[in-house]
Amino acid sequence: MDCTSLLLAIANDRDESAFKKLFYHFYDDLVHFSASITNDFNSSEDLVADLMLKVWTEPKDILSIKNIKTYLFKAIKNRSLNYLSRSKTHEYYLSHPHLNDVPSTPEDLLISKEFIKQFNQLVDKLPPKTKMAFILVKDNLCSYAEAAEIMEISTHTVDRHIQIALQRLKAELEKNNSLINSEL
Amino acid sequence: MDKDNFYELIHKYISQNITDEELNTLHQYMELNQKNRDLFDAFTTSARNSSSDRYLEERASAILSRGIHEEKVSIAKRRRFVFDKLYARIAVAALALILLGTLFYLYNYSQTVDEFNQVVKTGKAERLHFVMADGTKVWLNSESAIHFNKGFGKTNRAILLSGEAYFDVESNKELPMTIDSRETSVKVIGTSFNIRAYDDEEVIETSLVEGVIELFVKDNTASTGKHILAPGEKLKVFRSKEIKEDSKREEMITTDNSQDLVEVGQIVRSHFIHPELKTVPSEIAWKENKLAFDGEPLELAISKLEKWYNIKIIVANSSLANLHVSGTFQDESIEEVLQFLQFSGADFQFVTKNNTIYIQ
Repeated sequence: MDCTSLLLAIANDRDESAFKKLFYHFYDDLVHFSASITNDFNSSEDLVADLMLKVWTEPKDILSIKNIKTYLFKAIKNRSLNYLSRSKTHEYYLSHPHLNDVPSTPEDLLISKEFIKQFNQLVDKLPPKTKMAFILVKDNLCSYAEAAEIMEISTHTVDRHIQIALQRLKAELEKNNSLINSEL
Repeated sequence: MDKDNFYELIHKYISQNITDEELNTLHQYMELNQKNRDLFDAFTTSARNSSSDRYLEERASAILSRGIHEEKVSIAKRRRFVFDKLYARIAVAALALILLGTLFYLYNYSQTVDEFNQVVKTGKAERLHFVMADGTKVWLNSESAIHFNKGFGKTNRAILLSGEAYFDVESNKELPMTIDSRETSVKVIGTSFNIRAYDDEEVIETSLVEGVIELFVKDNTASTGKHILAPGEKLKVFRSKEIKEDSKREEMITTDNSQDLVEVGQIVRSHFIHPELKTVPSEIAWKENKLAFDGEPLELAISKLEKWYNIKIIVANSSLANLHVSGTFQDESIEEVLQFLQFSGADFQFVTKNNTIYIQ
């Protein structure tokens, strides 16, 4: 997708269809990423809507942006973290991480549902930054380089987080589950 | 084959830094057994939700219509800088005074829809969720509309409602929100509540989930004046002069051993949230795309069904009017809903003809 020409069309021509293209392209990814921080799908939808509204109403700001993708992810990261800190349900969700039942995709239906569910619960228990890096990379939202820019860390550190995530998940899976112990 | 190697290959796969040879080895691991495939899938399948095109279109359009409103406000702000000479300021001040006076007059003596020149509305079988300029979240049920004016969120928070809407009101003590329907006016600071005020139904229901609201009945009847609602309470305001015997009995049954049943003229107050029941009350289930009936008269249920499914329903048998129905439905067809009601004891037959359902 040619983001630069879309941004120009949005800022200069006030082209609604260009805005919609941008919206369709990033909406699900941004909501998914935000929900991994807030643990609240509905609020994340609102946070993303607010962000996209800003893109539409203050387009002059976006013209100076080099990479719209990392800009949007960085912005939604900050908004999600702010939301989390002022959210009164914060404590509640932290103590009930299993409430974060992200709606499943059709692909999920093909593989062992129960296992995926268990796996996603383990992902929720990862340390926040490790979880953030893991979600960004694993869920195909970003490359290492993009994740590094969004999280404002080096690509090396992103890789460290992925390694930590893999190690922890492996340990947890082996602890909880005879599923993988046997035949490997 | 060892486990660590399998994980290392997954790591390389995720980091998009895997050689063809390693990819082959990874495939061999997966052919070994289903468990390895599950594991690989868990680590590589995106858990991200995929919205339908229609949903994305709705969300984007809601933002664009919100955007138009906010843009106008910011353009107005920018233009103000033109008037930096003193005489211009005086002229503006004088004009503003005259305008304010006129507005005050208009507000007091002819508050009409014209003033509420922004509108969001839904058609039959359509529902919408959006956020107002002040941060208030609104869910709009089928065949409903909210009107507001350009200064919404800045100079006022006045809404005109027809139909049904659920409001999650952003708290703002300086600028209370008022929501007017034809017969009632609700004043709030920051709360969550539902109003059902369809012109073709004889009851206006206001159900409060959180916070406090003040409800005024405009009509000059015995119940005119201010009524305060507490969380979990529902207030029914009847449009017709007499409360139908039917509906009264329903209230008595549902709030059986409750002390809170108060009747003031045309008003019935009851509790709609029952903490012991873990289900979502029927009053607010619709905003989660569930159609719910909670021991309500067939007449109201049919009005809900018509709006939900965009279909005409004609009841040919007047003895069915006393029927009460219950049930919660999600993604079922209208036929499935009616069949369920039949199964659950409602004694009627129905036929469908030309997008119209005849019940007898």
